[in-house]
Amino acid sequence: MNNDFKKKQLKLERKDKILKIFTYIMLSIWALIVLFPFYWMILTSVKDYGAYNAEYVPKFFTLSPTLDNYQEAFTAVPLGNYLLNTVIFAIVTTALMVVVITLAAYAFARLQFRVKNIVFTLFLALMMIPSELVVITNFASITNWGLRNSFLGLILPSVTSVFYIYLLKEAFEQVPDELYKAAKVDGTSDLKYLLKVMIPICKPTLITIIILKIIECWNSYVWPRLITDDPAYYLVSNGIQEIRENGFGRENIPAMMAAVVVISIPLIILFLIFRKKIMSGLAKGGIKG
Amino acid sequence: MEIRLENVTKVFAKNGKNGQEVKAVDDFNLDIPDGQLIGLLGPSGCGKSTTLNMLCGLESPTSGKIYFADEDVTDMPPELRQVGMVFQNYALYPHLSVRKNILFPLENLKKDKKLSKQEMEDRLNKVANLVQISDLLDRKPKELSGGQQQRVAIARALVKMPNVLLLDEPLSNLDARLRLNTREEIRKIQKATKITTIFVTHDQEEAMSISDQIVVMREGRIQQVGKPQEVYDNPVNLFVAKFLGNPPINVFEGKIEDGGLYILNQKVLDGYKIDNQEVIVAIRPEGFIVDDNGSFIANKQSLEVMGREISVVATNDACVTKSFRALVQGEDIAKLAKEDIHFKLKRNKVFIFDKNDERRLNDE
Amino acid sequence: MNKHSYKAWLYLLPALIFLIVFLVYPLFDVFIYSLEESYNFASGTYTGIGSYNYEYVLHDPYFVQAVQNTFILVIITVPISTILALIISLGLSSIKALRNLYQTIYFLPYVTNTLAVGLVFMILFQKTEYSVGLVNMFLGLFDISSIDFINGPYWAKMFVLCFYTIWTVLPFKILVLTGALASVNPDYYKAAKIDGASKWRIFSKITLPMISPMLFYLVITGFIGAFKAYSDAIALFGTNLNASGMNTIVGYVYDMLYGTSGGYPSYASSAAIILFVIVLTITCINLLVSKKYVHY
Repeated sequence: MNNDFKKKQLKLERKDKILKIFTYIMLSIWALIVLFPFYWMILTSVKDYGAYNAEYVPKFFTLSPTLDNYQEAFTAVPLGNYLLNTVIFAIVTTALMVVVITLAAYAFARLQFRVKNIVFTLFLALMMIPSELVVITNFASITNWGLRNSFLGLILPSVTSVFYIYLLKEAFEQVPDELYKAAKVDGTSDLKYLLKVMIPICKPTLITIIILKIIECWNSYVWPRLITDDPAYYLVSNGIQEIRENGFGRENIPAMMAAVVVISIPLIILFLIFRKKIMSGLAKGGIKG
Repeated sequence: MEIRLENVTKVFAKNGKNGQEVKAVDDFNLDIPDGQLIGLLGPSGCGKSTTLNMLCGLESPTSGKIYFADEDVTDMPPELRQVGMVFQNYALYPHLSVRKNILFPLENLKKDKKLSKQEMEDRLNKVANLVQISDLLDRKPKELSGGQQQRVAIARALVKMPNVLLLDEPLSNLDARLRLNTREEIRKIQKATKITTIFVTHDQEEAMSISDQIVVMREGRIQQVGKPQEVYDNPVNLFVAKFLGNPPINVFEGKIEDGGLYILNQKVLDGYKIDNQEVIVAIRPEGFIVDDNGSFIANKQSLEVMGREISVVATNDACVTKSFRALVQGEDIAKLAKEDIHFKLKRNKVFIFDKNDERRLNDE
Repeated sequence: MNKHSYKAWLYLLPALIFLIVFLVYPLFDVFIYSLEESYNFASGTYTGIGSYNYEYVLHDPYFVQAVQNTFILVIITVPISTILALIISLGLSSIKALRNLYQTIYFLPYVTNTLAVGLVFMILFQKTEYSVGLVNMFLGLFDISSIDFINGPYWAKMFVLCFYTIWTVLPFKILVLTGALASVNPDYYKAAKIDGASKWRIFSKITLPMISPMLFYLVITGFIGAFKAYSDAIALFGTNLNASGMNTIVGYVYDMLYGTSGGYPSYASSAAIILFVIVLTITCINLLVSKKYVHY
């Protein structure tokens, strides 16, 4: 009996070990699939244009890396302009949104008013409206107002987000009621209470929302494409599409990859800094797009 | 089944870079006779849960041996040990009905041990009858009260007819009234099934009330093993004395001089065969008798009349705590009018401990 | 209205204005658009009210192509990405070493620009007269003749589109599922282990039911997301999706609105509403199915 189960035990242990090795192999393969495109874009971006075109069969490394492609990316196409536009767009949109959603979330979380619950339920119902349905009228509205090819036209439709109002309201509601009562007793105004107490306490949630919004802005493509046809107002996504179709001449792929690297890096850095915040914020039930 | 633990030690590597080690269980030796109900008792972090985990095989000891009957099970995986375990939060599968929860262990049996549908059903009904949940079988766990969940958890542990039943803090999630009922229930079930049962608790009253034997643990080491009353009447050290008893034992500074026990220079008891030294004196609340000739004098703070007994809260300069508590007979109330109350002490309720290592000095 | 409630409405006002102008009003307006026949963007005139726009869209071969593409994409990517995410999450939660590193790597596609990385995928899969492309080089190792996945046969293009879609949706799914797995009380596993449950039985009888709400959440949002596929296709095949035969329903909507076909907001509205009805139907079916299988 004793011997028997020891044999069994050994067999189990071996099985466990094999499973573990298999797990690591599987995880590594997927990690490789995820990382490879990044490696490839960086590699290609430092390959010399002539050398790249000479490779019929692509090489996995280069012995003579060059930064010429980056220079090309910034001079031959207005990449710097695209980046600047995107930064302006992301910062202004996010800033406006923070103001709007903070006020709204505060009204739902703290202030008492009649029909609050009905209004909030209606708000939640709005989350289900797909953006594809409303984009048509918005396009017409912005066109009618003469706001095509302008920052205002780009920014206005994405200044509110029902989902972020909801997220922030949940955070606000975690702040104990006693603090509000205490502030009222001390004669603090609602606005001052919001600025001095609520926002500092809920800073983590607010930061998560800000980062998620910036990512969203940086990657937005559909609306900017509809609303801008003047390259002076292109964001990076449209810029990259423009580069692909009319940029460096179809075949200058190293320069194209240099542009791709430049566009990708800011967000990757942002992600690596705020990794925990982004992931936990999304895990709370965020829905992409 | 008889269980034996020999020099069982469990060392955990502490997290962090220092790599400090923690001895959760230290040189644990215990013989558990067949069919007994054993209470592992101690404050949190004393190693009682680790001991339980090693018994069921979720953790294996760093050194030492565990035997079930004559079989060495030290490294045997849990599923081969034939143990039933009831978790503190019951760990009932929320998506399965009570019936499926209880059948779960049986459905795991393989090959020659496999049971027919009829056998499973019989076992289910038998165990459901035993813990009185026959009418709850089709409910989901969340539709049950805490006490009912507890019974289901016990039923699930018993249905595979384990050699050993392990219970982790079985009563801690129940409210006070249910606790009294359930602990009777556990006792009854254990007596009926005669399965060797070990349970872990930090509540001394719980352990004392139902165990055949209690094992008092502290910092991974066994302090004392014995029948509850024996341990209560004969604690081997100050820790055990303090840990058992409610209201807790009263502790005083005192000294031995020529066989006499002195508290605040008053001789309170005589005839000890202990060398002259300063000692720690622990007196059970029920060890005080109101007597105007008594030499232990205390300053009355308040009286709590509880009907049959009166609880006297009083101060004494030798007391290591702010005040102490004495339980006296209700009819003595007339004698408690004065500020200063004189007590005589019951000799068998007074324990004397070494001032340095807190070991028991009087051995009667 | 007392002073307090007046103030509350003031706080809500900005959000309300934006939502009404850009979300509520357009929602109704799109239905009106879809019924106005031969609506002219510039003059704002139309010739009649009726279902003509829907009939046009449903008979438009480009739309039929887009619907076909979208359905194929949905049917392939939703199950594969969900199962793959589940496998990876199970792997992740069974290891300790390197876990954080893997998690970080797996999340990277979420924060990258779909259009930009799509370009990299295009290069990897493309075959031109100057370069055979990396993927084809690998296929060559197995003696498989090279294919241009970007401008080549339909199935090849669809393969790349599915592959890239899975690559981009997986981070979120892995994140949600590892979270769900971590939130299962470890006592359940301990109890099952003591009861001698096999690994497979623990997975199928405990883990799976316990995370089933999250799994269904992912399936439902996965369906919705996949039906709205667009940027992935643009990234791989360029803006003229009709020409490459890889258009999606959303792509059709945008093309109708503005782009090569010139502005037809009525057709766009009809197509968008058809998409909405499809998504709504599928979501309702999903919810009904999940009611039956999700246990709590």
